[in-house]
Amino acid sequence: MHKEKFSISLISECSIFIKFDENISENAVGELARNIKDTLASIIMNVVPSYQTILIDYLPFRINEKDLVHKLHQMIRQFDTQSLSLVQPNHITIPVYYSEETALDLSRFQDRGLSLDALISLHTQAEYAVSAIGFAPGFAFLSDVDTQLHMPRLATPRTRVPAGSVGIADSKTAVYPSDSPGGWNIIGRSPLPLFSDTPPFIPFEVGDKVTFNAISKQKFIELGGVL
Amino acid sequence: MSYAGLLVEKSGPLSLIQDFGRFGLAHIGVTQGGPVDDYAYSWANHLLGNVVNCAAIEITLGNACFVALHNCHLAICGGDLNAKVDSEPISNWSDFTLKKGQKLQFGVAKNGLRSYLAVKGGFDIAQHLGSASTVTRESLGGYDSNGGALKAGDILPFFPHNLPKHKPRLMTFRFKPDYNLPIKLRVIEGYQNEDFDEDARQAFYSNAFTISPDSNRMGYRLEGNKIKPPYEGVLSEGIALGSIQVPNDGNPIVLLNDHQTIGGYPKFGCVARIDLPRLAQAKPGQKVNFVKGDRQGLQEVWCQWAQFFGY
Repeated sequence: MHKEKFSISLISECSIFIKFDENISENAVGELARNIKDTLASIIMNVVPSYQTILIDYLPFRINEKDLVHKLHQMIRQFDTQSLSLVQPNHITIPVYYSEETALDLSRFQDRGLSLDALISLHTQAEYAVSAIGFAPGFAFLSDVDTQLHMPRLATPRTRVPAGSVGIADSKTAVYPSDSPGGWNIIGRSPLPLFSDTPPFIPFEVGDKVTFNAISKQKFIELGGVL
Repeated sequence: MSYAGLLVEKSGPLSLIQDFGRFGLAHIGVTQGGPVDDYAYSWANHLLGNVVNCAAIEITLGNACFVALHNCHLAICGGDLNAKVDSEPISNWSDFTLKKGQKLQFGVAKNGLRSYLAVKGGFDIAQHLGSASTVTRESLGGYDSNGGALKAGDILPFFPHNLPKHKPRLMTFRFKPDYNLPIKLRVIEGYQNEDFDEDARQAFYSNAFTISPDSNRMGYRLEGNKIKPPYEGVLSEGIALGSIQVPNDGNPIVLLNDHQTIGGYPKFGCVARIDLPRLAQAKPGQKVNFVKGDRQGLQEVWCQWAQFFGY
């Protein structure tokens, strides 16, 4: 990678922030973050990839910050986007029951002239990239939905969004792994459990690819879905 | 195997099991948790000769009561919540013993907000995703391994141990913070700092803020000075402990241990790690001032502290 494509800054006593330019792929950011975490395991507490950034929390009494910055520069420069093509991102398909009873914010799309069928077709035809994971454990920001599906967050967030709910906020889509408050526009529900107590805890990492497929109510129940 | 226990007779408004925290999972959205006053927490374990990760109880606001089901060697550090053993006041920032049947009571907070109660060898609480720390919002850790606060009737197991022969150890006064003193937090500028305009920087450093009642283990909200953010948001990015985010309403939020792992508000910088306990012990209504800090100097002090406690 060329030097001008990223910057490294020291943002606290024990945190370093890397920012790439917008041409970097989710796959490259995710892979680099995993490289950093594995290579520097003994001095690192957390590595958080998100869109075009990586945050590193480290132990400054185990490594001098200058040495760490130098190491990171080397790792990033040596990181070869060519070899990335050998690392295939995982591909996950998430079944979703899109319906009047699970698409809690269907009316917001209908007001724009989008029918349920059109919404399903637009949401399931795209392949999404996991750009970031956060907000809640296992909550993955998937980029990007078709422009016809772009929808601002609810003015007043719900106090409880049921686990498995599939939402849209602006250009992103996501699945709520557990019951939680939230302001995304809900368009369906997945029966898949997306967070477990045992490693790897969640089925995807930053850089992975996700598609959705529409299932019937019967299939939703069979797969353990709860209405 | 544990054969000994401490009974929670009254839990108070918020008593949480905390060990040092949950690390290495921020990339899947799991926050660190752990004691918001890690200085007091670390002293409580240190006074008992415990390693730093031994699970202790973070008691917020007091009004809690515990009964020893077996003899035990304990320590309390942090906010002064008027602790008493069988109605006799005991010293804060010290170790002490409870004999079987004795009662430890916490009253109301007179200095600070949170007290850390540690036991010799630590409370034997199951780890959940690698830590016993309670994070309610994530349903992780704690006595119930579901993020729940302690409740009356819980019996907290610990390893049986002999009571010490020495007198209680009291910390020297120069290590004891006075949480009621005015709060001045040092700021390491970073993130989008350079994008804030001169008026925003002036407003940030020149006037005192007031701590909002809407403050908790996720973050402390500050009011009184509106800080104009340079823009409404950025693409979500990793949040470091102590980050100062400035949402569109202009009221800054300092993020503490239960913070979300990523966020998209513009950030002014980070509060120094060694100053975060002062903020975490502050009550709504208290005043806070910010002053620009020197990263390298603060890093040096934090490293000394971390190595003293064995982080």
